[in-house]
Amino acid sequence: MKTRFLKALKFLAIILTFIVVMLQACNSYYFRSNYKETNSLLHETNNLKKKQFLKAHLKNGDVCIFKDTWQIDTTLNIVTGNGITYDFNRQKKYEGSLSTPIDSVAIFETNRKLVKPEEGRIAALCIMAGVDVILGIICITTPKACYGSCPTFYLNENDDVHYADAEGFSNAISPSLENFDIDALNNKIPTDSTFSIRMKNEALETHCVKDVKLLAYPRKSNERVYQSRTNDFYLCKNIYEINDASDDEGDITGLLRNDDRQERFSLADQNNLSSKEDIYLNFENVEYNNDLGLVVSFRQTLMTTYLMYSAIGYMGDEVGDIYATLENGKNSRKEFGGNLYKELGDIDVYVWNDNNKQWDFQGGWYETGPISFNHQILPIKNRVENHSVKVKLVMNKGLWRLDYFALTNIKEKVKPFEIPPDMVLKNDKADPNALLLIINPQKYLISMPGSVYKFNFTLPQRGTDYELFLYTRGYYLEWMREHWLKDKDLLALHQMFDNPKKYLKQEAFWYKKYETQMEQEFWNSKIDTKKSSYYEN
Amino acid sequence: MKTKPGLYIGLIILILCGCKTAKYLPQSEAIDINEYGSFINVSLTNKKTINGELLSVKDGILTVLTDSATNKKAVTIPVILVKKFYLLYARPKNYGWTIPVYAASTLLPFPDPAGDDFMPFHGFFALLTVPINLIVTSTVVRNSFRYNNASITYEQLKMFARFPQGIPANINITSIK
Repeated sequence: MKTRFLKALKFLAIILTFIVVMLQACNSYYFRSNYKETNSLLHETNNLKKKQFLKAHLKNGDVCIFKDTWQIDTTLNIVTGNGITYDFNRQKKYEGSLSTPIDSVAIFETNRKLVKPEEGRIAALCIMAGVDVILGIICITTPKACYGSCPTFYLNENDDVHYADAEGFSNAISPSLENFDIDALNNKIPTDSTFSIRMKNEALETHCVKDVKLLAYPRKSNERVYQSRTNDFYLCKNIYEINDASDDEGDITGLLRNDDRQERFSLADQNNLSSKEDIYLNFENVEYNNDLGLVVSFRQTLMTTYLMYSAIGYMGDEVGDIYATLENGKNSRKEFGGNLYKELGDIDVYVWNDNNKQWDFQGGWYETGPISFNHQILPIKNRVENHSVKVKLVMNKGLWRLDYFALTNIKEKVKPFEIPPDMVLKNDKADPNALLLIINPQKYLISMPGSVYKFNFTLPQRGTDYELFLYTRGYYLEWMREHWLKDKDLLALHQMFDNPKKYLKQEAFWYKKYETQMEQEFWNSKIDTKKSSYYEN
Repeated sequence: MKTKPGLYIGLIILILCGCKTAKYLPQSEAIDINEYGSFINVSLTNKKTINGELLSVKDGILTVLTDSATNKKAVTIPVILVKKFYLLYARPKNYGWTIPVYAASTLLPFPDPAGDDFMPFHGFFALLTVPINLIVTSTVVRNSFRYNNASITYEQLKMFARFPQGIPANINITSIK
């Protein structure tokens, strides 16, 4: 948050400077001229298309203001025209036809009309309004940046929340729900023996981090290591791209064929947040049809974030009591969100069986979190008889963002080795205490909003390519917001957990009001689609 | 989100009060027929401030007709005692409304990720954008038709006086109104 804050500050400072400079530039327009000599006045004003008003400041302190019909008679040495004469206290003395001896004039003054004098100010206000709208849209499109979520990890220092490489323990929202998370980093070939990753707390949360380590496994050219939902790791080779993919709305092959962050997602059903939908994938020319695995890159929409915040809001001022109950009872912990999760369901995978002419269930994926992509594999149980594989996905409508599917050949199950961090830096300064806390399995590193920790790991063999995964363990505490307290609704909370089917139907109307603004903007905001995965050969 | 509303409201009132301009200042379309001098605010090295109509700039002396309603008088200020000054030569259109409106727009309630409640439009950044908006809009409001000691010389300043030629010898400055 701090770096984001500094960036925003820098951006706003530039805008501010620009506006101030622009306003100053407007002021550098000198419109007034004084002439002590009549000749200078005539010389300067003769060529003007439109004659200016003339002020003659008299030696006695009076002033004559001539309208644009004034004339100078150099023979009689007088200035004539219609106008007004004021005395030195600026009381009107005379109005009408004036004839003033030039000898009585101390200084002539002319003024150019100011052309659109408000233009600069209006432009400055428009720019500021534009900046305000842009910032607002940034907040809408990257709600985590402005509103919050769980710990995020970045391989590149400058990446924003759209390009987070991992999210730590998204479900662990209380000490008793402490959990671990393993995320594939989808990394390029490491160029150095030191591998770094940054952990940021970009939300109003307290992150209690027990462990951060790398899981690594060497890979050769054309090989990848994929993680399954059950955290088994498979060394794989060969990639078979999708030939065609479709959903209810038509062809989506272009969205799902490449690991390019061009995602396919749908909006939730307006009558029921647990409505299901189907997607069909077709793979042709699968050369080696034994030991296949289906590879996926996916993440969630903001639906689960919405539901989690709703749940905390429903707890109102009893949030502490409810969390205490959770902490003290294993059953209540299991019940917490369990039914809701079941109702929302996984991304279920089926493969077409040509022998019995039906779809055979293979398993599914589920990972909480709308920020980073999950790169996982699902081993195909079916024996595939030919070189064509048909896959059906069944999933909750409006819950998932899908980026990439491919088939691969599983060579073997492998066990990555663990690499603990050998240095931790807080805000780019070495923090040995933070390292001790991370290494000690009984201790927690507490990361507060705005904190940025960099973890350095030493890879065993320089020049060796490794598939890397990030292991994190811990929990986080969402900061209760004052305005949530008024949302207390224990009945809704019970319904959410005890009868989620009914709850998800009732809540659909309210979620759709939120979804149409947030999700669409999020989708539209994905400008740089060329910035694809870190694994690019 | 605590954005110290009292502080901002106070600042806005202060700024809006500061927007009140002298009656003798013309509208921007009428600068060529205005018979008075421009408004000047002079800060002295002794930390005193003098406001009023600029009467003349001559021989290293500024003469200002103070704006005091009860004790309006011409005062002379040696340039050497001037720390800084700014000058308004026309009455700006009133964009004072933009100060509270722009700042408030950053705090507009917008559905937060919980969906059933609201966060400021700029989220946490409102802590930053509210003061930035106040600064920009008050600068815009304040900065129009304005010169200061950094943008104008005393020689140029003369042109904005009621008597650019200097106060005529026949006039007793105590009689100037």
